[in-house]
Order: sequence, then structure tokens, then C-alpha cells
Amino acid sequence: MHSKTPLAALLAVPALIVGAALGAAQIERLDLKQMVDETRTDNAVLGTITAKQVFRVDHPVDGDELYFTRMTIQGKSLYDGSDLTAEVTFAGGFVSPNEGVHNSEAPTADDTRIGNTVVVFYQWTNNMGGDVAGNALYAAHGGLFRVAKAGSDQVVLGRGEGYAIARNVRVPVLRAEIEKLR
Amino acid sequence: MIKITRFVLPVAALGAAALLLVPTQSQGFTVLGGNLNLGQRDVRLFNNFTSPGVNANTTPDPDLPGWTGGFLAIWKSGVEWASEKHNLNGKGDPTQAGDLGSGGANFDITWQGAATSIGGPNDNVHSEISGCNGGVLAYTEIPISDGWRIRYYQCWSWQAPAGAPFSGFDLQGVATHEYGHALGLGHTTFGGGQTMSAGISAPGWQARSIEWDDIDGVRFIYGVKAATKPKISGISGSSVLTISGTNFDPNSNEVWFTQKTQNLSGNPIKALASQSSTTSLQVTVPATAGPGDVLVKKGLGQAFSDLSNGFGFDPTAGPQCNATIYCTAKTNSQGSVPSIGSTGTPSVSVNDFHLNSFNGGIGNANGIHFWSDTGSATTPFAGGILCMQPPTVRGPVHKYDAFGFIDVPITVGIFEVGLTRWFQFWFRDPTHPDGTGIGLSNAMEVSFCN
Repeated sequence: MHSKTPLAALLAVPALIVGAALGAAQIERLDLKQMVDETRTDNAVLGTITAKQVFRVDHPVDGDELYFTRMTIQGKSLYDGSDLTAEVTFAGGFVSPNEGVHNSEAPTADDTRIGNTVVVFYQWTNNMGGDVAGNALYAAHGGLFRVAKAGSDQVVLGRGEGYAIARNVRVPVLRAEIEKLR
Repeated sequence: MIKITRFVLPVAALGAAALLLVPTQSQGFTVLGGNLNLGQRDVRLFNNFTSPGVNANTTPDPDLPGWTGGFLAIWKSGVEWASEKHNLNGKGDPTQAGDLGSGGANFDITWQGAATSIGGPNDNVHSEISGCNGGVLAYTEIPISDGWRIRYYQCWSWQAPAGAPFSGFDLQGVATHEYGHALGLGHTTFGGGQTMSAGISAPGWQARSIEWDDIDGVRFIYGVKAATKPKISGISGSSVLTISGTNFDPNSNEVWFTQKTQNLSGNPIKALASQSSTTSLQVTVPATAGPGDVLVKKGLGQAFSDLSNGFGFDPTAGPQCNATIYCTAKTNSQGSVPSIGSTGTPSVSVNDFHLNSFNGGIGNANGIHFWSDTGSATTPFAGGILCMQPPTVRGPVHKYDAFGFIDVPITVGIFEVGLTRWFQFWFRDPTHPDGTGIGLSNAMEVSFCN
């Protein structure tokens, strides 16, 4: 099954494919109705990632070397339309080039790049491990969706079957669906 | 400290290459770009689970001896990815009867029992983590070639029964998925139905059994099980083990045991075989070995295909019963091959063990079974093979029935417990073209137990 294809040629493969492979784990299987249920999520923000910070926790019970990534997303709530700046946290990340961990359920570095427009679902959590409190990215990578421009429209990119947003959907359509479900 | 960023890009590139090279029928699985070398095959549990359901199963399984509850569930979750059916019978999991061990790749784990702590992100330990993180059940920290660490969020109701749970989430099912990440797989691009599907619905026990796309994935990373890979087919003895199988190194083999007590590292207990052939070896069981699996590694080999399947063994249980067929029969005058077989268990307490010879005996002919307590052999004899070392002992004369079948009850005495004996059938075949007038079956290695 191994090929002798020159490595240089393979390096040209879009990193997006690999990124998708690295962002993996076992999460609750959800549809949109379940995701927007108030027992699961407090809010969803459509906006731009404006900051990202990784921090390390060494915890006496939960163990050493717990790494978390905290993103700031500035935009509007998809639940009530209000202006919203949200700090949302997920497990995994690197505090420096040589210190950190890849987490199998974290969204990819490409998905969480500063400047990306995203839809993020979150829920306040008093302890997401290591006594870290904050808005937890709900279902980890399954709670973050990229948003792309399509002409004058914004389109939320679906992640496939089993995710809250399975297929690509225009923002106004998603907003209307959420309004109906809530 | 984990230092992995420096190889993230190469890993990513290789991962991409791997994705491109996936065969057309295997488009679902994705890879993380690394693998676990032979030094990273250990699996342990730090049992800090707070859900009572994790430790409710207190019934040990004879095929996975010595462990119960969450330990047994975690052990089975790794064994499911193994190269062979566990103990060659695949028993031990009621949700997939006879099918435990489905990987078919050059990949096997060594179960190392209880860890003393959660450990670092490359210490190969499963454990619970406090709190909750939205809809996340568990995650794997994946430096890959340096090892891994798997965490389960405390807020879920974890269950670890032998069979399928009725509520909560199945620890074994989720662990099978997470261990797939540890060995190098990402999520499959298929939406559902595979162990490596990203999402899971409660209780999720179906994920215990890896499916075709998962199997393609582990075979892609570690290679399809090589024809030269060592394979354990039976274990007998107690303080000195006789391990039978195929593809062992003819001169030097290392035997891996599960550690008896909690240990700071997951390193298996290792012992060199005192006697080796390609089909059988003997090893003295180290005092530090406990119940778990035995594996055989070829001498100094470091290839994925140099490590055998795991085979359940409990050094505290006394001598093990075993009956293994070996050697080659002599084709009879009628062109049939006389085969040795058995029924029952070679146990002094059960005492229902029978040897038989079928499909190749001569109807109404006289014959005997004979044996040796010295060892196996392949010595040319009477146009066939004498499958044991001298001295041999002959049993009484028996008459084959009209169909060339014979059944011989073997009474097991208390002094035979722990003994290994090699059996073969001899019978008259007066019209055999080689002029010897003798027929010979293949042979059976039998270990007697309590």
C-alpha cells in the first residue's frame, strides 16, 4: 500500500484534508434541534475570531499538563440577534511551539485561525477538567462551523451526518431554523 | 513535556499522503500521520471512575483472566484491534460472540493492568477527568509515536458490563473508538456505523466491534498481518510455560507478560525463552508476571510483524488445560489423511477427555494410540512422520469401526496435572503401496490441568 510518489508532490496536498483528520474524537451525536436545546447550549455566536490563547493547568486530581484553548469571537447571537462577544474554550492546544498536546476532539488549527468567520455553539461549564470554568465549545469540533462567502451571501459549512449542521446552509436560513426550534 | 510541534507539519504531510493512497474501497478512514512502535503497545487503566457502573461487573472472564469491571472493558477495547481472534476463539465479549480481535493487521496490544496515576500525555493510560465539556464524551491526547493519554469526562454515566448496557454510555465502546485514535486513526468520513465515526448515540456499545472501514484503517497504518508474523495458538504449564504456535524465531524469542502489580511504567514483564523452535518454545514465568496476556516477540526484531498476538494467561491459576493439533499425517492406502481429534477437557476434575481418529483410519483395522512425555519431533518413520521424541509409550490395541473411526477415553490422574503429553495414532494398513503396512495420524499436544 506504500507508494514511491515523491514526497514533495505529496506536500502540495491541501493541509485542510489533514487538518480534518487531526481534529477527531468521540462526541455526542446531535442534530440542530438537540444542539439548540437550552439544556445543551446557552448561545451560538456568528462572528469573527479576534483572539486566541492557550493555557496550561497542572491539577492535583486531574493530572498534569492539561492544555486549553480560549477563543474570542465577536459578532451576533444566532439565538436572539444581539451583538455578542463570547469567550469560548476547548481542551487541547500549544502554549509554545514545543509545549502542548493535540486533542483528538479539538477543532483544527485551521478552523480556529484568528480572522476566521465562524458559527460557535457553547455552554457555560463550571469545570471542564482541571477546575477550568468557562463557556465550553459544545461537542468540541462538532460545535464550530466555518462560514464562507458565496457572492453576497454567507454560507455556514456543514460537517456531515451526525453533526448539528450537517449540510451547507445560508446564514438567514440557519437563523430562521434556529428561531423555529427555540 | 510534549514536544510534537516540530513534527506536526511532516506528520500532516504524511497524513495527507496516506489519505491520497487509500485504496478506493477505503475512502472513509483518515489517519493522524503516526503509529505506535513496539515500545508503545502497552495499555493501562488508572481506575478513578466515579460511576458505579464501571466496576459493577465482578465476574472474570476465563479468556481474559484476572480482571473485572472497568479494567476488563479497557483491556477488551484494545484487544478488539488485535491481529487475531483473542485466544484464537474470539471469546470474551457477549456483544460480539467469537469475534473479539478483528484488526488483521501487524498490530497487537500488551495489557498492563492498573496504573498508579493518570500519567502524562504519553504514558498510555486511560482515566477519568473531572467535570464536563459540552457534548464531549472522551478524548485522546495524541503525540502518537511518543504514546497517548485517554480521558473520559466524569459527567457521563459510564457503564462497563460484560454485555450491552441499557443506559448511560458504554465505556468499552467509547474506549475502542478512543484507542483507534491512539493507534493513529482519525475520524472516518462515513457518517455512522463505524467505530471511528465521530459521533455516538447512547449507550454506544456497537462501537465495541470495529467494522470494515476501521479494519482497513488499522491495516493501512500497520500493514496487513504478515505471513511471517508469530502466532500463539496454545499455552500450557504454569511455572514453566510451553507456548505453541507458528513463526517463532528458531533461536531466540522474548516473551511478554502482564505485570502482576501496579507499576509506574507500562513496560511489559519480559523473559527470554529457554528453548525455541519455530512452532514451540518454553519460558520460565517471572515472579513479577500476573494475569493478562502473553505475547512473543522474535529475538531482536523491531518490525510491527515481529510481535505475536496476545493469549490469555493467569500464572496464579495453576496448570492450564490445552489440546493443540500439530504435525502431518501419512496418507493411507485409500488416499485419505487420518486426522487426530479430541473431545472434552484434559482436566482431572472434569475427566471427560477423549482422543479420536477420523477421516483416514482403515475400517475394522487394529490400531493403538501412543505418546511421549518428552517433546514434539518430526522424525521420518514408516513412510510417514513420528511426531514425538523418544521414549514412547503405547496404549492398548483398539479396533477401528467400519468407517475407520476410533474413540479412546483418556483418564486424567492427579499426577498428570501440569504435565504436557504428545499423542499420535498408529494403525495397520496392510495394502499401503509403500509396503510398510502402517498408517500414522498427525499428532496432538495435550496439557493436563486440575
